[in-house]
Parts: sequence; C-alpha cells; structure tokens
Amino acid sequence: MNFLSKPIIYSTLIMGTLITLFSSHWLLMWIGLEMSMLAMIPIMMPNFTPRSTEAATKYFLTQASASMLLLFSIMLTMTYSGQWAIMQHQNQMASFMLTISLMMKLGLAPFHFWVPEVLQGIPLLPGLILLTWQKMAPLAILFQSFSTINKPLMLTSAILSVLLGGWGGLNQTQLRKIMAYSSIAHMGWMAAILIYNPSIMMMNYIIYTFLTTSMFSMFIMYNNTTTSSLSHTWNISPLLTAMMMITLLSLGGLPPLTGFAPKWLIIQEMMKNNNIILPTAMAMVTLLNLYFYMRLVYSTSLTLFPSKNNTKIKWLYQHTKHIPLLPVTLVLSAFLLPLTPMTNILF
Amino acid sequence: MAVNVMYFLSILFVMGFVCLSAKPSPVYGGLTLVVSGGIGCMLILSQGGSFLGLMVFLIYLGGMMVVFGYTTALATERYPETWASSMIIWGTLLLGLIMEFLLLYWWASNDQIEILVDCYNMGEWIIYDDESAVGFLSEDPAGVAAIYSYNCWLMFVAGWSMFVGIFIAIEITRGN
Amino acid sequence: MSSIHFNLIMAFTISFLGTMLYRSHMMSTLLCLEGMMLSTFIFGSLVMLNSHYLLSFAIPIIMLVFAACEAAVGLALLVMISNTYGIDYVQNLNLLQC
Repeated sequence: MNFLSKPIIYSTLIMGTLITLFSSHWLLMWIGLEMSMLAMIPIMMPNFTPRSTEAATKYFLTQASASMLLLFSIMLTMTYSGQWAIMQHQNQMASFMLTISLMMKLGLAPFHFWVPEVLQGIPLLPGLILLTWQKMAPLAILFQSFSTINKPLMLTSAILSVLLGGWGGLNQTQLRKIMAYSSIAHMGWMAAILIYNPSIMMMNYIIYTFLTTSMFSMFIMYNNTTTSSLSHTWNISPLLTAMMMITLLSLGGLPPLTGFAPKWLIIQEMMKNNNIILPTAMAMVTLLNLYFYMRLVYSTSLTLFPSKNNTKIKWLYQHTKHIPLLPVTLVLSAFLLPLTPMTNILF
Repeated sequence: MAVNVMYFLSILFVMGFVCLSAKPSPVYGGLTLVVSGGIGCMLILSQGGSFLGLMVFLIYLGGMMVVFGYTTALATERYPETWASSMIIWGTLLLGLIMEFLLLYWWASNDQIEILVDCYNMGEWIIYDDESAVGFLSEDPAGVAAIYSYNCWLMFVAGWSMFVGIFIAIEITRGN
Repeated sequence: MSSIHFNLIMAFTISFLGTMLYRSHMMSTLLCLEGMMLSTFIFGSLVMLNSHYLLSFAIPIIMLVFAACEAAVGLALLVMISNTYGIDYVQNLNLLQC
C-alpha cells in the first residue's frame, strides 16, 4: 500500500470502530460500521491476487447487505419510536432485523459461510484484524441493545454456531480456515451469554482477542498457513512450539489456562438462569473444537515431524522477524485464569 | 384523488424493484432502477419534500447512474438478457409480482387502505426573520441546510469518508 | 403504518432477496444494493416529512453520501474482477469454496 494512503486507511479503520463504540445515536453507529467496513477492503488485498480480490468481494457483498439491513431496521425503529437513541423497548420486527444484520456481520451460524472463505483468501495480518478488531463494533451494538434481542433467535444461532464451528473445522488442514471455524464457535459462546449477561460476553471477547492474537502472531512469525508447515516449527524455535501447544489448549478451554475462564463463567451464568440443556449441549459440542486443536498440538509439538537434515539446525540462526507483542499476549493467553475473580470488579 | 395516485405510484415502485431483482442484464436493471428512482422522487414530492426529491433526482439519477452506465458499458455483452430470455427470470418476475399482489389484496381486505389519507400533507413552511428581509422557506431545505450548523460534525464525518473512499477505490484498482 | 410505507418495506425486501440471488452478473447485485439504498432513502424521507423532524432531514443526505462511497468501492471491486476473468459473473468467484 502507498505510504500516503496507508495511514489514512488505517486511521479510518480505527476511527470507524471508535465512532460506533462512542455513539448512542443509531445513525452514527451505522456510519462507524460502514467506515470500518470500507477501510477493511484495501487492507484485505495488498497483493492483488485473484484470491484476495475474491475474498474482498465476498466480504464487501456480505457486509454491505448486512449494513443496509441494519440501516433499514434503524429507520423502522425511528418510525415507531420517533427517536434515534437506543431504546429499551423496540418494535419486534426492527429488533429482528437488527439481530439478523449483526449476525451477518459477526458471522454467526446461519450466516457464517463467508468467514472461512474470506479468511482463506487474505494474508495473515488482515486475517487477524478481521477476526478481532472488526468484531468489536457489532458486538458493541449488541452489548448496548441486548435487552431487546429476541431470545430464541439468539440462542438458536448460538448453539448452531458452536456446532458448525466445531464440525466445519474437523476436515481442514489450512490454519486460517481452522482459525475461522474456531472464531465461529467462540462467537457462538458469546451469543449464548449475550442475552443473560453482556459483561461476560465482553470478557469472552477480550480473552478471545488475546488468544487469537498470540496464535496469529506465531503464524506470522514463520509464515505458517498449513498444518504441515506448522509442524516444522520444532526445528526453528523449540520454545514457541511449547507455547503454541499451551495457547491451543487455552483456545480449547482447558482448566488451568485462560480460555477456561469465559466458558466457566458462561456455563455458571446460564445455570443460574435455569438454562441447563443448552450449556450442556454447548460444552459437549465444543469437544469437536478441542479435537482439531488437539490435532494441531499433536502434529506440532507432540511428534517430531520428519524433515531434511539441513533444516534441523535452523534454531541456531537468529530470528529476523520480531513481534514485540508476542510475549505479552502469550503470557496473557496462558496464565490469566487466577485473575477471574477480578472480573467482578472490572465489569 | 391525489391519494390514489400516490398509492398506485408506490405499487409501480415495487413492480420496478421486482423487475430489478429478477436480475436481467445490468443494462435493463439500471434502466428499471432509474424508473423506480423517478417514481420514488414523485412519492417524496407528493409528501411535500421538494428539496429531498430534487436531491434524489439530481444526485441519485444524475450522478450515480452515469457511473453505473459507464461500468455497465465496460462489462457489457453482445446479447444482453432481457426478462423474456430465460425461464429463471420469468419465474422470479412472476413470483415477485404475484407475491406483491397477494400482499396488496390481504392489505386491502383488512380495510387498512384509508390510513394513507392521514399521512398526506403539502409540506410545512418556515418563516425566517433576517435583519434585511422576512420570508418563507420550505422546511426541508431548512432541515438539510442545518447540516452546516447543528450537524456540522456529521458533515465532517461524511466528507472524510468520501475523501477516504477515493483513496480506497484507487488502492483497490492499483494492482492492474 | 400506511400502505405506502408497507409498499416501501416490500420494495426493500424484494431488492434484498435480489441481492441474495446467486446468478449472472455481479453488476446486478450492486444494482440491487443501490435499490436497497433507494428504498431506505425514500422510506426515511417520508417518515421524516410526515413527522416534521427538521434537523433529521439531513440524515437521508448523509445516507446518500455513504451509498456513494459503497457504490464506488463496489464498482472498483467489479473492475478488478472483470479485469481478471474478462466478465463479471458471480459464478466465477469459486476459488475459495470450502
């Protein structure tokens, strides 16, 4: 990207999300979503291959129709309530359309097909932005209007997302697709808790951001896009393979690691609301997710993948690519569980 | 009587959208969108929004359709699809029209047609009292012009996104 | 809700369905997106004209601005696609299917 347009486009990406976060006026919320969506398109296609063009087109079409739907639901809200502020009691149809459009934007279950396709076509850093930063604005809108959301719709979408996020990733060998399906599953957990306690959804989002950032940072460091290239990490950096195992287990939600905290709180909160069957089903379906994380762990750090002799001394060389954020996010994605009681103070 | 004209105009508007959504060749699609835009302009005019109607006519049909015309000409084909050329388009068109008329029949059979008399008006007028002159102004130019005073930050955001939009379009097409 | 509002909601729904239709040119899909924008514009203007919200009359115009930005980006993507494949059929976008 040109050095002149790069700061302009990136600042628009950041500014759009911030406008959505800070505004209580429906139109400005829509404007923020639109700005970050438009600024994302050139970031997604830095090398102009047909694959990245196609990914950008698919992203554009989905997000543009979702934001049109959002705009129309805003107009309907305006017609019925006569004001632009976010209301506690909305019209049923408008609230339905709002939920559907935000589900399209987030990639929740019946509308999740664009996530793996788009993520597969773009480079790793735009993928990281797409999975973390771009989810923030729609989640913020859901956070503010959670009490008007149709409960059965959201819960159905949540259980479908967790199921399809686990199921779709089973047969994949491409790391970006695996991360996309894991994102769909995590979005399902967030959607499930949204109508009961949106603060836990925010905590889940933050922890998911830490985990995804550390996974993608490790991918970016060695340009890994497939499982087989990931399995050669042991002769490049033995320490990172161990950390990758811990991060993957944390993504799966195993107890002594950070990723367990949101799942624990979500299941507890849903039990408190007399919702027993749904968290049971979600916890069991998440095992599918854990299965493909475990497969990555197995091929990365539990086996020594066969390699040529001259690649076995790669760990001797100094690393040229430095990612300063990596140690911080690794620590955060591994050891945050003891701080779980603090979430009562934070949120 | 004017009410009935507006009602038929809105039905024509929907029919134009059905023809657009059946996805014929973009040449005909653009034509239908222009027709629908003109009808929509008349809908707004009949509610008293003369300035907003002007906006839709000049900006939408004048500006946008020229760009779309150029791009359609760029990606055109020798024998464009019309509505009669494929069974899929026929089916979609008929399905849309039947759906529209069924819904209209359901709407009319519930006796809800009379409500539209309530929303008919000739527009409001605003009296302005300057130091030099006193006069009338229709409410919608006044409201749109308030973008320079009350809504100035909205204008700033919109202007910034148009500025960025140019950069984005250039960055996307730079790879050719 | 008057029958004119009802018809505008119908128009929006129909053009949304048209956007979702996976067929022929991508240009038609972009036109359907514009149609969604047009029906939203007219719906919003009618609502604001009926309820006389003076300061909200600017909002349809702002919507038009963003529709123009969206159309510009969509057309740029369309140009990229038709330069790659020679034609803008949406069926050509099948490189990334899972």
